[in-house]
Amino acid sequence: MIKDHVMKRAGPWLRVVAGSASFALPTILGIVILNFLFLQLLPGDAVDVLAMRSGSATVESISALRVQTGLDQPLSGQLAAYLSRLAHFDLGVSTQYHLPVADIIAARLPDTLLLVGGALGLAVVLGLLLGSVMASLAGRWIDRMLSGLLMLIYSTPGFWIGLMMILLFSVKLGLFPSAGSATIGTRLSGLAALYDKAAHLIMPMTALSLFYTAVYARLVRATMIDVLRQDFILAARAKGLHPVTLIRRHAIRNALIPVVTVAGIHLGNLLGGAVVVETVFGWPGMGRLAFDALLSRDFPVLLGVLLLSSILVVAVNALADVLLGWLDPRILTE
Amino acid sequence: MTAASGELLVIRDLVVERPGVRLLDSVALSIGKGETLSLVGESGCGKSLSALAILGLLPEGVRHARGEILFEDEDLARASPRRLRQIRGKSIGLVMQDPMSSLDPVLQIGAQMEEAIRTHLPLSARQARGRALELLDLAGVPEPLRRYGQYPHQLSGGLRQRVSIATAISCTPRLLIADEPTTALDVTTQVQVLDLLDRLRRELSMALLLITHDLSIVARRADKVCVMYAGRVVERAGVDDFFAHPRHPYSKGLLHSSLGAGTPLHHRFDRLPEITGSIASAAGQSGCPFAPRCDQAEAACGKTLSWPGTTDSRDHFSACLHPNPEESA
Repeated sequence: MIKDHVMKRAGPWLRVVAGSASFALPTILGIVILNFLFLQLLPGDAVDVLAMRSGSATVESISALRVQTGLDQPLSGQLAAYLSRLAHFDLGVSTQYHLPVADIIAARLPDTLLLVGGALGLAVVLGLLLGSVMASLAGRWIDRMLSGLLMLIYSTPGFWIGLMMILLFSVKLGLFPSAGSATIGTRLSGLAALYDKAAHLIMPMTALSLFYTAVYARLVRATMIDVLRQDFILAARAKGLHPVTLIRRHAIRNALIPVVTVAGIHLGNLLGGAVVVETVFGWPGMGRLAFDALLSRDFPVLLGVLLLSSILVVAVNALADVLLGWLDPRILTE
Repeated sequence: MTAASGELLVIRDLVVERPGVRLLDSVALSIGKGETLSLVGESGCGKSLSALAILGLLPEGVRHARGEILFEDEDLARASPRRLRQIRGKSIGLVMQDPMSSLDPVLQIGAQMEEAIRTHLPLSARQARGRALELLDLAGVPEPLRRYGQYPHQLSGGLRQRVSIATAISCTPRLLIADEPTTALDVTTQVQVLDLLDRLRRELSMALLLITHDLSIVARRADKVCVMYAGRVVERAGVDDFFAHPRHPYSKGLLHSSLGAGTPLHHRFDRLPEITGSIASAAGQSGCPFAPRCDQAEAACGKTLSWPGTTDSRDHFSACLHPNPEESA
C-alpha cells in the first residue's frame, strides 16, 4: 500500500524535475549569448589591457596578439567559436593568467558555494526562527523590538556591517580572523582544518546573510500571522495540541512556502552581493574573480563565471520547485 | 438545574467581553448526557462564541468576565491552559463550519487525525494508524486506506466534513460541538452528515451541541433548543414544547418567518412575514435587546437592566417581560 502510494507521488515529482530541465537548457543558452553580446559593449578588450599594463606595446605587437587570441575575428565568428568550444565543455583560456578557465573557476567554486550556501541557509533558519517568535508574540514588546532591529539591518548596507564586524570582532576582540578563507602557511587537517575554515567563514557569511535574514523574518512573520488566523489552526487547537506543536506542525510548514519561493530567486542576488562581501573580507570566491576579470577584460573567465552562476541559479530554482511540491501538495496535482 | 442532577455541561451566567463591548451576556444553558441541544440564532448573535468559550478558545482580545462553565462538575472557565488542552479533543470534540478551511492543506488526512489521537491516547504510531482507519470507516468514508494518504484538496466537501467529524470523535468525547456543520455543504450532503452525527451520538453515547440557524434541523434533530439574540439566551425549551408554544416574541417571529410553520404546506402564495429591523439595533441598548424590533414592546422593556426572565412549569424559559403572552397559550 505504502509502496503504491510512493509510486503515485513519484509521477508528479518527475514532471516537476523534467519541466525545470526542459526550461533550463534554452534559458542557459540564451544567457550565454546575451552575456557575450553585452560584454562587447564595454570599451576596450583584453589586448588593450595587456598593452596598457606592459607599457611598451607597438601597433604590430598588438595586432599580432589580437590574431593570437582570435579577437581580430568578426563578432559572429567569435561567438560561434565560443559556443562550439562550450559544446565540447571547454570554457577557453584566461587572457590574463593563461590558464584554463575551468581550472581557475574550480579552484574558487568551493569557497563561493560555502559562503553563499551558508549565508542562504543561515538566513532561512534565522528568518524562520525570528519570524515565528515575532508572529506568535505579535504586538508584544519582543515583536516590536525585533521588528525595529530588523528594519535597521534591512536598511544597512552589507559591506558596512562587514567592516564594523571586522572592527569589533577582529580588531578589538580578536575573536575571528579578518580576512582570507584559511590560515596561510599552515597544514591543518581534520577537525583543526574545519575549525579554521569555520572561524574564517563566520563573519563574511553573517554579513552576507543579515539582509536576507531580515527579509525572511518579515516574510515569515506576515505569513504566519495570516496562517495562525486560519480555521485549521483553530481546529488543531481544538484537538488539544500544545502551542509549540501547533507552530511546528502546522504554522511553519505553511509559512515556509513563500520563503522557499523567494529564496530560490534570491540566490542570484546573493551571488552578486558576494562580490562586495568577498572584497571586504578578502574571501577568494567567484565574485572577486569576476570583478577582476571584468577590469582586465578577461572575457573567457567572466563568461565562465556568468555561465556557472546561471547554471547554479537555474539548478537552485529547480530544487526550490521540488521543495515547494513537497511542502505544498496542491502544486503537484495538475 | 444543578450539576448533581446528571447534567453533562452546565453554563451559568456566562459573560464574555471585548474591552467596552459585552459579547455574551448572562448566557445559561445545560446539556444532559447523550442529549442534543440546538443553539439557534442569526449570524453574530454569539452562538459560535459560546462554543469557543466552552473550549477556552476565545479569540485574542476577548475575555471571559464572569460565570461558570461546568463540564462534568469542573469549571472550565477557571481551568489551567494545560487542563484545557487535556479536555479539548479528548472529552470535547469540535466540528467546524467550513470543511474547506478546517483541514490543514499541506498535511495528509491520516497525519491530521493521528495528531489528535496521539495527543491524548498512549498509542504507538502503528496503533494510531489503525485507529484512524477505523474512525474513517465509522464516519462513512469509503476506501479509508486510500483517503488516509490523501491531502484535503483531493477530497470533496462532504468527505472532508466526514474526516473532520472522524477526527473530532477520535478519542470518544462525551460532548461533540458541531458549529453549523452543514452550512457549507450542498443539500443532499447535509442530510447525510446530520444522519452521521445522529448515529455517532447514539453509538458513542455522547452529547451533541448543534449550532445552526436552520429551524428545520432543530425540529428534526434536537432534544432541546436554546435561542440566542444579541449575545443573550432569550428562550430555552424542550424541542416539542418550543415548536408548539414559543414564548419569546423573537422566537415567534423566527417561526412565523419560516416555511411550513403552522401549516403542513411546502409552499405558500402570500409573502413570508419578516422580523422588521436588524440585529444591529441591539447595540448599546440598555434594556431588552429585542425591544426596538418587538411589536409588543412597552416603555418598560427599554429600561429594565437585568432580565431574570421566567420559567414555566415545563421548564420552558423566556427572557421576556410579558410572562405569558395570551396567543401562545
